[in-house]
Amino acid sequence: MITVKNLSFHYAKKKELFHELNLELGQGNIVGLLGKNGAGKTSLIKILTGLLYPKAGECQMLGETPSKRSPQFLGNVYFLPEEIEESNLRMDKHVALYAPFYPKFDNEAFASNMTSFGIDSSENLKNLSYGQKKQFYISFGLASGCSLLVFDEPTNGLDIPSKSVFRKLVASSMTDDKLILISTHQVRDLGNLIDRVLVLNNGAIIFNKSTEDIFSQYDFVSTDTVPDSTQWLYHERGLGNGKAIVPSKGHLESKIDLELLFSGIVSHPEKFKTTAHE
Amino acid sequence: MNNSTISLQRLGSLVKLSLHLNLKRMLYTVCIGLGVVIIYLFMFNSVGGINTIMNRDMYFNQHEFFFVLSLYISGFVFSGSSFIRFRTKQGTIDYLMIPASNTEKFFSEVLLTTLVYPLFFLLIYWLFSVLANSMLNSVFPAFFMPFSLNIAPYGLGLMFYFFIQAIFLFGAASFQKIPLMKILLWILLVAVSIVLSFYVTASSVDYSKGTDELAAIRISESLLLYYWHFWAIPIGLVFWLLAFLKLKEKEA
Repeated sequence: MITVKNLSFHYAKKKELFHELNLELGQGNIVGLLGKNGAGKTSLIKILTGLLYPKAGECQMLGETPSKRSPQFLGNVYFLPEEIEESNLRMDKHVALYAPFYPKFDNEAFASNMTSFGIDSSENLKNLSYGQKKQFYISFGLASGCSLLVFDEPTNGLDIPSKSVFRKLVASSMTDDKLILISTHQVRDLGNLIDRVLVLNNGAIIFNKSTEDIFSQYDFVSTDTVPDSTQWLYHERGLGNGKAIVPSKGHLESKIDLELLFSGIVSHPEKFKTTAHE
Repeated sequence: MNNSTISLQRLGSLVKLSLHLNLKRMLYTVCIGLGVVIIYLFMFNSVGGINTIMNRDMYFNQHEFFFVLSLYISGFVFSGSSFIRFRTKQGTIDYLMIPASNTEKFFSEVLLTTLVYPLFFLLIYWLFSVLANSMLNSVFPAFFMPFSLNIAPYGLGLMFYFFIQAIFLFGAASFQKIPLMKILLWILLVAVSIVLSFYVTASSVDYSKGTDELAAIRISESLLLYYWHFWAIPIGLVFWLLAFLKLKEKEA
């Protein structure tokens, strides 16, 4: 679904952000794109959605070149940016005006999503809080019927119950022909939702593994469970016992600690290097 | 027509969306146009009173002239502030991500500025002239002509409007911040350089060589000055093309 080959990109009069970047992502995945501030997450998303043009290399999404911005491509991609445009439209009017551009838009799914968030679509967007606006656009995006959904920091501004609703809605709207790409630096918000982790650091993809592979390769343990520090790939001291990532022995049943994993990958990328077959 | 480039259904939806998002802006701009007319009338009024106006071929009856004048001013303001969503990063993203081709997006703006706005202005202006005339007729013992829609004498001027506003459309697609001011500054700069070039040409004429050279310059000047309306067509087409290319290469 997404194929990026030798992609290079830089902003005008700035140093190169991506140098010969390669990436391949298939459908049927919810991908968490993680990275520190300024790692290049938003720029990569903008290139993938055709909002920025690569300087070199090839980028294909759904078999089309994003920078051409063909209506077929745009009608199959929904992008929710981190910052939302100020709108003076009522939500139902917004839907009436924008939904015709999305051939597979599902009004019932939209109404159901709005109900889940507890928003009344007869209200004007300008009267909503930032978080409520996000809820509206998330509801719209999930109902758009697009094969590719790209959310940039979707949980920013959402309260705790809304974050939970967001995770439920994303999981329930997922089908085999879709790809949902969620970019965030709030890794905790994506716990149990994503099935692939992509880490971007200094303009390079330093980690790209499915959660299955992560389960099979790493164990997330308390430091007193595996006291031998030579086995630790990464560890963090806590108030009580610390936490550590160790190579999987295959007998431990541990939940993925995404925050710990992210910190480990960013601080010791060489220990978590993705192999070619992954 | 190639469905991936132009679909009438998508174009219709885009025009509908643009109309919704620009209705307030259209109203404000119409007010600017009508404001120009009112100020113009009051200027004459203050010079010699209402009688002077009526004696001067009844200025209040020159609706057609005022219509073209105010359409020029307000229309250029409207075109110069089109692509309004490019003013903010969020707006640019939202606009570029609308599932329509660049051609459709461009034509929706062209339709809005060259067809919808002049028609909207015509309607409002007609209403304004009917109201103004009925008020004036009741105050002054005179007969004020209603707006006759006979704008044929201004046909060339109108044609000029349709093409020259393409410059403002291009400016709006190019400049993110205060596009109207920047376009006006550029136009002023170009106008000054044209005037200067005329001045330099005229001052370098060697009159001692006889009148042939002078006549040649006069001919070239008259081609530029007297047929200036027809320059509007290629200029307009070029600027439309440039505006389209700007839209196509726009990034967010």
